[in-house]
Amino acid sequence: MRPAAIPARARRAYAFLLKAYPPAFRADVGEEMAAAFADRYQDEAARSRSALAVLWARTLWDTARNAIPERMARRMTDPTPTAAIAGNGGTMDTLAQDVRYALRALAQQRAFAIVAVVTLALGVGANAAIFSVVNAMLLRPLPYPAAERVVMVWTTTGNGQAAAAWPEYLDWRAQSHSFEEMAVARHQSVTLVGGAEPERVTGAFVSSTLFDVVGARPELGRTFRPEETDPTTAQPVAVISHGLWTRRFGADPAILGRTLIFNGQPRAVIGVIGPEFEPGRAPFDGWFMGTEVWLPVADFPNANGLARGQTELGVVARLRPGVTPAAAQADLAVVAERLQKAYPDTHARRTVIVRPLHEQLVSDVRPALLILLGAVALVLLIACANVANLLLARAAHRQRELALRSALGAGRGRLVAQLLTESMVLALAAGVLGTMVGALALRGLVALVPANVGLPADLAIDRTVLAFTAGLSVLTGVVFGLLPAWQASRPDLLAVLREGGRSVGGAARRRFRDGLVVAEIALSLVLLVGAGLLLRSVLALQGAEPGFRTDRLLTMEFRLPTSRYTEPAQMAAFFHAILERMRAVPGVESVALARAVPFSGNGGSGTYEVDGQAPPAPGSEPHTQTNIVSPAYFRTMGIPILQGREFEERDTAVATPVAVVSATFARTAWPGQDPLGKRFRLRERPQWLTVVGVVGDIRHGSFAEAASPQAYTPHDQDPRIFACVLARTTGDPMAMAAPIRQAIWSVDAQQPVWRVRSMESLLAAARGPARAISILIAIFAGVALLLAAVGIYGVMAYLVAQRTREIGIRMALGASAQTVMRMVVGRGLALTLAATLIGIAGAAALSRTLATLLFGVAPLDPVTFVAAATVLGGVALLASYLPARRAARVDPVVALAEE
Amino acid sequence: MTDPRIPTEDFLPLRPVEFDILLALGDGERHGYAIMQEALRRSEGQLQLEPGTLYRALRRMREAGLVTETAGRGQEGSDERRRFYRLTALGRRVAAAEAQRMAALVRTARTRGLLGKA
Repeated sequence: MRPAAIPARARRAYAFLLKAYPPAFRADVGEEMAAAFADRYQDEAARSRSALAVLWARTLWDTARNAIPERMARRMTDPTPTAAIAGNGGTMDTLAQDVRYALRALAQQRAFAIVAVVTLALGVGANAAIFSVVNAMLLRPLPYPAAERVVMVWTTTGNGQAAAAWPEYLDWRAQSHSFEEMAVARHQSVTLVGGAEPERVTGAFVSSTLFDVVGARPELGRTFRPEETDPTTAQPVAVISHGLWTRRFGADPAILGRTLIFNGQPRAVIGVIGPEFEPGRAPFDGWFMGTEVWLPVADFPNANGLARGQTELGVVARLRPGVTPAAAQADLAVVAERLQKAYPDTHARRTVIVRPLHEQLVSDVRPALLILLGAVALVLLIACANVANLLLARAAHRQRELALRSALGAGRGRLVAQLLTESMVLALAAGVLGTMVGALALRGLVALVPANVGLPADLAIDRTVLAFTAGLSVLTGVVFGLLPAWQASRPDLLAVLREGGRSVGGAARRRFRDGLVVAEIALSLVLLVGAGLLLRSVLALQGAEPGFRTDRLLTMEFRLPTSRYTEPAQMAAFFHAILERMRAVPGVESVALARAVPFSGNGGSGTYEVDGQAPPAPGSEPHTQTNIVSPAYFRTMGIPILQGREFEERDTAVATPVAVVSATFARTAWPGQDPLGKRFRLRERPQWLTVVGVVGDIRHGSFAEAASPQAYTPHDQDPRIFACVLARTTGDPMAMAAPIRQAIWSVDAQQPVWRVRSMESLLAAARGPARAISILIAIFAGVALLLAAVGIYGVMAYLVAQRTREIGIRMALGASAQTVMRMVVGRGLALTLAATLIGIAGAAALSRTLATLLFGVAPLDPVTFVAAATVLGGVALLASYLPARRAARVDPVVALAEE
Repeated sequence: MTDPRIPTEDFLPLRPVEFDILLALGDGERHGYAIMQEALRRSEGQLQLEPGTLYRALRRMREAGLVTETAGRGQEGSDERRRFYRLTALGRRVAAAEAQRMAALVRTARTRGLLGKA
């Protein structure tokens, strides 16, 4: 016999098709079939190509018409071949027939079909919308070649992660073996002069290797050479983005070699990076992404920033193929240990963390997104339970029809197939409608979510989402259709025929329907509790005090070019001049400068040492937030001065170095002592600082952060190029933006000013994500509640319809309308009570997952639980009251005469 | 193995595919692909059995005792993984009964003039 040498692809394809058959069938004759197919394939291949095409077509058909009935009928095989054959002729014809029949059946009960499709479409639509976001942010790979190998490398001394230093990066790069390439990058805005107004662009100070790490290719010119970025040999060059090139220079190819002034320094443009690296392509633009201009790391404006021990530079690297982040981390840890020994002062306890870039980017939003996905999954489950219930009620009405078909010889498999086809038609219709709902919902969602969450710009129902929705719809159809179909296809022939088709459908079926309702009420309660907890968080957040006055406060940022302000005295002079001009602007109540505006995303921090206390072991020094502020800062911000004084004009560069600390700082550093006159020093500065005042704690980064020690130093004693204006105005702060900017420009016309925002808008942005999530969950909970109400109503109404005769008899025997109502409502409440107990247990188990999103409310907050249960109970009561009222109006004469 | 007293009428009428398989196995044991080839040859290219149809039928017929597998008894030089099928005594009787039933049908058709001149 010939060897069965057919192409591996064909063999695999047929093996795949064989999976359509039930496992037992495959185990028995699968190998034989594959062998027979291989023989046929060889014969046909010898004939012609078109013969092969015909073979594949016939094989597909053969699989479809045999595998499906084999799966459906296997359980009910009859020992005689002919009997098994009877129900299974021509599967495709059967399917078409089933679909036609399903459409007819659904058309006859239009109300039912509409309710079912709309219910499911709500569930599917919510899932499509949330999944679009999850897909874009969590699932889609970053837009870099082999992006899964791009990692961030951080330093750590035990708590949290920090950036690295230039010499450290060089050691890592030279001594590790896990990376194809490693690079440094530091995001910082850059001033570009040359147009009508000075402009601030998003810059990154990088090593030449960055472009290799992320796989960025220039569309014009070239990227940096190693010697151009190295601090010892750096050149005044720049690489700009496609966006900046087209927006500002009209995509003029003559940009190459042109000199532009960045941060006050002339630089030659040597390349333009392609459009695939524009902002908004990744879930978030961090570290080196979304950059408009790349400059040599050597020119990083903080001159001290490159020294050993600093934490200013982000390190991004590309792993060698096959190397895991954990292995790379272990590799680098060896280098870090070497550095600890070589530089005990700056590298004490300093080691490394290697994290995949994508994971790092999305780690903040992941919990929220997964919670949202869970919530919409619950909504869909509730919708399924509801439709399953509707189907069961409907199946009960159709029992006579099903019994008849069964009596006429349709097997159970055949009936299940018919009923499942109806579910599928419903599910697919819901899928189509749900996709439309999803597209609309997505638009609403984009409008709802604040910009600082960073939803990708190209968020849309794309092919992946469509495939997901289609799959979900089919799954939905099976989930809500299979059980009812199974139940309904088991009609008790005798009972049905004897009762003239008015069967009450057995206790088992009623228990099953009750179970569905209990399940959906319980699931709704879980969602309600979640929504309640999040809403309470939002309220708590709304009422949270940041520790300063938030109204009528204008903020803006600027940065002095190091080329023109080389001396601290020059900077101080500039700051004094603009403060004076700004103070003179009508409508400005009070104005101050600070290095970082609270809630702006900027902020400083570092370790400190207390005078007169034994220095703690290197690496375990206490930590404080830091800020550099001008006189009148605390007055302008409305931060209460608890002790001593705030900074004054006398705190100049030549005066005693002083500091103002927060209450928490004072308590931490000098517990039980008077902090005034005590001294401490910050790691970054050598001088001892004398405490002259104690102020109230404020929240600087977010509402969620724990109260941290805060230390302030005067602007004049440590002037830096980066500063922010804070102005308390008498009227609308944004209206004052233009005159204040003019005041700055009257001192230096080349000074760009950016991020002009009111404090209220910064706080709104800080509260935004929590607000958006809670609104979404509240919407889902509302839908769930509505669906649950429909479910309860459906079950109770059905119960009443079924028991009309019994109710009639009871009333004929003297039961009052009230007794009847109590009976019906009581039953609804019993179901609700059971569901509430289950739901509370479920919510208690699940609310812990919400913990990271909660603010000022415990996951097991009793108020929320009781409120959610009460709302649900009220809705359930109403939903059973309506059918109960109908029951109470039963006319015994009519009810009994129906027989 | 099979009880000779099982009435063959229980199996009639056979499905065409089943009758074709019984016919193909009439002159000795064959493996699956050989059955497909034999059916094709005998029908002069009209009957192309596909693997799914063939093996479903073979399984049913094996369960009903019409055919049996001959484990490990391949023809010389044949592929060892192949299973061969042969008729059981019952299968042979059922095939004969079906043939007689068809013959009777043909006779009837002829007497009614459906097949042209008798």
